[in-house]
Amino acid sequence: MTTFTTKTTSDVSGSEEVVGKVEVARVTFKDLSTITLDDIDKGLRLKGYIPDRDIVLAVYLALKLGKPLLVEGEPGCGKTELAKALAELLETDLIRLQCYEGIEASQAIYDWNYPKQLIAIRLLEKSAGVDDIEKEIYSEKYMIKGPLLKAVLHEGPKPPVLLIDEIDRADEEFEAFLLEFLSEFQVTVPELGTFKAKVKPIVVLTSNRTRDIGDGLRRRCIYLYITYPDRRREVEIVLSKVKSARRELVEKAVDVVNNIRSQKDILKKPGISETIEWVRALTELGYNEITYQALRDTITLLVKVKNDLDRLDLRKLLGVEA
Amino acid sequence: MRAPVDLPVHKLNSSFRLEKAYMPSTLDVNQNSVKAVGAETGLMSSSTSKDLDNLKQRLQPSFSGLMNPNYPPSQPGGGLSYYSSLELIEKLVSFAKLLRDHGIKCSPAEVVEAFNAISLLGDGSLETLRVALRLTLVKRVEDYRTFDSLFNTFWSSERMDFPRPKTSVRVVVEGEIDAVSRFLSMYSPLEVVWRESFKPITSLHRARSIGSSLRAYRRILSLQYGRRRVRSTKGFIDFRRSMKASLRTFGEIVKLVKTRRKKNRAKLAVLLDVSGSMRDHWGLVIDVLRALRSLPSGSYKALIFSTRLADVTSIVSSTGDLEGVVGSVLKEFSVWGSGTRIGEALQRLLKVTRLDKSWCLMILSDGWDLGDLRILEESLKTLKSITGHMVWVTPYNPEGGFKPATACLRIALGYVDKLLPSTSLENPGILKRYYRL
Repeated sequence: MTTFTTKTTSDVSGSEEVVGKVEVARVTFKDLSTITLDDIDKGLRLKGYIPDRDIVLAVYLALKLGKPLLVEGEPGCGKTELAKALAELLETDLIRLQCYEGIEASQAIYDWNYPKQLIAIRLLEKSAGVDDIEKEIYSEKYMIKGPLLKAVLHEGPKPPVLLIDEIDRADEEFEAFLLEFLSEFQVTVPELGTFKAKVKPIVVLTSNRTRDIGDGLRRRCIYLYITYPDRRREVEIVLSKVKSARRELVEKAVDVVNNIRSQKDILKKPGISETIEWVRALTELGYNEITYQALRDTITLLVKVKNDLDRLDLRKLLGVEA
Repeated sequence: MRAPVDLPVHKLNSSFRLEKAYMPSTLDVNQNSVKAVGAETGLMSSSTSKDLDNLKQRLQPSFSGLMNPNYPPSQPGGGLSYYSSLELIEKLVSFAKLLRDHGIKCSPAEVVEAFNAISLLGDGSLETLRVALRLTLVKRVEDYRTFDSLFNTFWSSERMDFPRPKTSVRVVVEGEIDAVSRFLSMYSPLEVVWRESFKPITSLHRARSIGSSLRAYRRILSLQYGRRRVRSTKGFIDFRRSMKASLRTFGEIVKLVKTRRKKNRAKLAVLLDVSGSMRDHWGLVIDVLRALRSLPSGSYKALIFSTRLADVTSIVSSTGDLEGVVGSVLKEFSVWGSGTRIGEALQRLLKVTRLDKSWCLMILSDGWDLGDLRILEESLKTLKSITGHMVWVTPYNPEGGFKPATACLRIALGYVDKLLPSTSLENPGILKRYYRL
């Protein structure tokens, strides 16, 4: 079990509590300006995210320079998890905008609840004047807030983490709109006025690279490309996620996964999330070691394309002669 | 003339160092130096004092790590502590110029970000510098390799005059290959596998241009109506929007809003000829494949053909490193370099894919074919009836005197909607001209 100790220097204030026999350090950041590289590294680990140095540096620079962090990489390598862990680490809210093809600005910012407004008009038209009705129906009560407006209206004191997930799925028009939003962090509602963020949100954008993101957006961000972790780190990640798994089993599993990734003609290479799910399945099924039978029973958790399944020689993956 | 910064760092006190770094206007020599660097490298478009002030204001005053005189000199090449702040700015600006020269776009704003980043991290190690510069200056993973190699050359040694790569020029001389072998390469029914020694000339810049053209092309064509609706003077009454509009008149519907369905962008089925006769254009074919990755998945199909047809959509759209994909996977299809049977390829296309009116079929081929012309005509006829648009892209330029003289092209012209030169793929402007936009 990992034990974390808290720094007593002025940048971090913390208290320690004992949960059973496990010593867990709770790290609290009073102020983002005092955060250090070490704090981010330890903090993310504490939240179950095992970062490498590039990730720590990228998060640190994004926080310090106040820039959005654009994370690209293979699916299942922990891009979204990074944003979640960051929100947990900073003990702040995570506001998520899931992008999809055809998403419009109104869905991301706000829309009026028209049926509710019409009912209000009908109820009030006999008892109230025009101005009163107008004031009533164009109030926040009748507003359906989108994630971007929520991020702008966040009260603080800590900035929320705004996760704009899978930006590559959104259209170019939406990307252009985001460009404007990310530079100003303000939203204008014609009936109510302009809302400007009291605290600038910490923005994390993720992309699976199904579409090329424009240069304009890239330029405004700190760019991080996450690839598959090295063996040691992946073992560490899996062990932190599947607590009941034995180290030997995890090490062997990671070797098999790396074996699959190293095959050139594999179309969908398994990510870390697949490794975690696979080890979890092996543990649940009661396998203490990875035999040919175990691999055959569970290979579909790792390889999800039929052509890839046909190409793979399971015995070779295990290093066993036929 | 670059002014020397000759004061040893360890003899400077902190405040003087900052003054030296951020207030060059007080030191005439240094101001000249920064001006000279700005003019040389393009960081500043003009060497006005306004630019200098702007730069000064944007740089964060924290150099403690970089300027640490006691930094252990264990780093190869001396470590960053051996640079004064002004030298570091100069070096960083030169490095940014070097990156730009090698095709990595980095704006002056990003250079300032990079400077701020190393000021913040500044533990003096080259590895930290590498990561900091990569995070702030390089915004595409495809550029990582170029960046790393330039970084190693630039920062590990003191070479500031890294030579620019010369533009690749390839001259194809008629008769370079004798007539018999050229004929055999074109028409041999045997499949010739990709030769390791042959490297098609590809260009990331061209791939990006083709990507822009293909995106524009999808918009230009807009073949079928989609689910989304837009306001229109004609069309059906939209009750939801009418209700929304009625709020302005307190719930009284004064004007009925009409909407019509918006046309969807066309989907592209790109059929690429990779036979021996197209050998000189394999680079273009690969760039088209790279460009297709910039389109949303599901909006395109990528197929390569010679005597056989191979659907490579799943490979192109997979999220791996495309260089690796192109280099190792495509060649395994054994279709590169053999003869051409366009008719049979189209016939196969009809069997293996489902195209409808929302699809535009784009065929990139030189039209040299010795397949069955009857099959070709029948296949084109069927494809014409089921697809929304059909276009033939030739690697030759009609404006340069090219005439579609081969039997295959003459037949194709009877069915395709447009015959485009490949230059139209590399330039959206040319493409629009062909569609009179």
